Amino acid sequence: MSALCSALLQAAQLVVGPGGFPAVQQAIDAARPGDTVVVSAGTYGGPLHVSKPVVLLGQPGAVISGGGRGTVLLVSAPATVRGLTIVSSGEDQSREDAGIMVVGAEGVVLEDNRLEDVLFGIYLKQAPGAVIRRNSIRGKPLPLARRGDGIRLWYSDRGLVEENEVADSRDLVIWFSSHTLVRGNTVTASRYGLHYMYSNHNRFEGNRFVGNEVGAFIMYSGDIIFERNLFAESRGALGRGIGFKDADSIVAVNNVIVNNAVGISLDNSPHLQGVFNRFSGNFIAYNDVGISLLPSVSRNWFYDNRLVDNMVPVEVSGGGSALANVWQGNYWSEYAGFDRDGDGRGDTPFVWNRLSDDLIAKHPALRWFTGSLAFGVLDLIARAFPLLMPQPVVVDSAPRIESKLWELAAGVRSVSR
Amino acid sequence: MSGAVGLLAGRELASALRARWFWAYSVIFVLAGVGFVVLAPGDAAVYGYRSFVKALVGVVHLALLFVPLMALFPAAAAVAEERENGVLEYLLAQPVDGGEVYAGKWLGLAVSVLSSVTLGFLVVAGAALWRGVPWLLVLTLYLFVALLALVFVSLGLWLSSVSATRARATTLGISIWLVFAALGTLGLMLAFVRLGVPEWLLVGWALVNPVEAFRLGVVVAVDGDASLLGPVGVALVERLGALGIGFLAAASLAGWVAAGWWAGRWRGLKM
Repeated sequence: MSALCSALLQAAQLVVGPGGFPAVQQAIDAARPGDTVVVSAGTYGGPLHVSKPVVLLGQPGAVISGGGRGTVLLVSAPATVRGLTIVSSGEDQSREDAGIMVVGAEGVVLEDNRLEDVLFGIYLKQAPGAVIRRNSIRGKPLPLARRGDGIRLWYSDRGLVEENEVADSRDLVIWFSSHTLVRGNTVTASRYGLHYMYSNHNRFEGNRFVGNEVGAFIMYSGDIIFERNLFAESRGALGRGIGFKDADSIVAVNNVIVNNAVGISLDNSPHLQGVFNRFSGNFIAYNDVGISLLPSVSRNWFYDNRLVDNMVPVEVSGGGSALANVWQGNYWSEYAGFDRDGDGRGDTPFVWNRLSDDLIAKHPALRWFTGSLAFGVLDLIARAFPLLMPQPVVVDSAPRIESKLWELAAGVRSVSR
Repeated sequence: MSGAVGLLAGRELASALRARWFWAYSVIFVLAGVGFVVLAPGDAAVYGYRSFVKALVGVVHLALLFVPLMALFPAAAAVAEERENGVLEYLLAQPVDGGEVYAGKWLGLAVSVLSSVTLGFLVVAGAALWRGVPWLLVLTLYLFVALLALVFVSLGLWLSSVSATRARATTLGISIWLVFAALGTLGLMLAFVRLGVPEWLLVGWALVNPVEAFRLGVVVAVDGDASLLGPVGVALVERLGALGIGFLAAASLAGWVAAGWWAGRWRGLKM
């Protein structure tokens, strides 16, 4: 205790700007561990290197510019960077130019910073226990293929990524990292709003992924829990609210997945034997396809979800059925049954099979005729001649009767802010 | 517009307002609009106007079904029926030429069919605007519905002018509508699945077929990136842009209106 008090008493404040250090790097070099370097309003040149545990504090109007070359701020010690505006990194993908790059430091805190015109925004390499909070990150105006990641965690366990705003970047991506928490962030106009690669035991909640190519993609990762996120407006040829590739032990609860080309996409997930993925309480609505699965996908449990007015509720790419998964107690807006015993469940199972969907699943180009009377006629003929009916894609033995749309509307508003 | 054309158009309009079809179709369209109002609000509160894209596609279905028929039936009867009961002979004995009679009938029919369509659409539009659908989208939808109606007025009137009887004109009209709306498309789908015809034929069919052009225009207006139309739609939007496809669809419809009109005008009305 006395050592801490002594350290606090000894911590000095070094000011950069009028009357103080003329350059930020000079102040950092002069600082001792525990000192605070206060950067006054003004534009200062980078690159900077923080190699000792100091607090780098920007006052309103303090801008560090990389001048379009290299990484702007390199951190290699458990430092805190707060309140700075960091602009103009280089755009060399091979060097991975970034606004802030943290290498080999534990417990770094990066908060309330603004990063603009940067290739990578915040890049953690082997930096466990970092806190990335309330930063605003905007990528360079480059084609999607040439952009860097807004936030990237690389072998950085136990990170907290919270309440950041990321736009015009590639991904918010977590590589080879465990026990991270991604909470309350907003990612827009990027490629993958959130992307897990080979990262197990992670959690994300209360995030907004709007207008990205894919809201979130979970690949080769397991034990991911996510709840109360909004996945919206991922449209275009590859548009997915959330996608899974070789993803195991997923728990998805109370998320809102609306207005995407495909709401949920499952490819070989789960892929380990004896493992299940669980989806419950999710609101999956107004997507072109609610849930899309590859034919071999099995062992996903869908229960108590609301599937509302998706053009196609469930589709198996290439045709076939999704009956190797569990569908129970979901609300389906297409369900046309009754609940005479008043138990809140339909008296007959919900069975989804439509000839037009089957054709589209086998020949995706035929989706071109969506909304045509020809498909309507085709489905009518198939209903009249059951011989033509494809096998059911989904059977829900106890479909929920009440959609509770108003309750859901409130839920959507709360995550949509 | 000559005085005779105006006079004949007025006569056609007055007769439409007295006809049962006009009011029956108007009532059906208004009821469909009310149905839309009843359906839409609960959903729209959840996620803005995107919540009822599926309902809008339902309205498109309804329009594909009703608008061509409500234009075809009176248009197919307009000349052939008068030929059957001798009114046309009397009319052509007056100092007007066949072209003027044709133009007058076309104009009168167009105004009456558009009035009926507009009446129904106003209810849908009111509901849509109230729930936050952008006014430009509502206007675009209306323009496409109006163009579709005019296409079938032109086609119906042309068929009526070349058919001996009302029954024949109506049968021909319905057959053409069936081919445009469903049979042609089903045949093309079959050819695609069985013979593997190239994708551009799907696009070509949608652009030369007025019913499909209407669907395409409306879907692209509602869903700007056309992901609703799958890989073919997305590729086309990337190449031409949603606006470009919309213009092409509208141009196709306008082309059919003009073609039907000129075919009838060129031939003139004969006994």
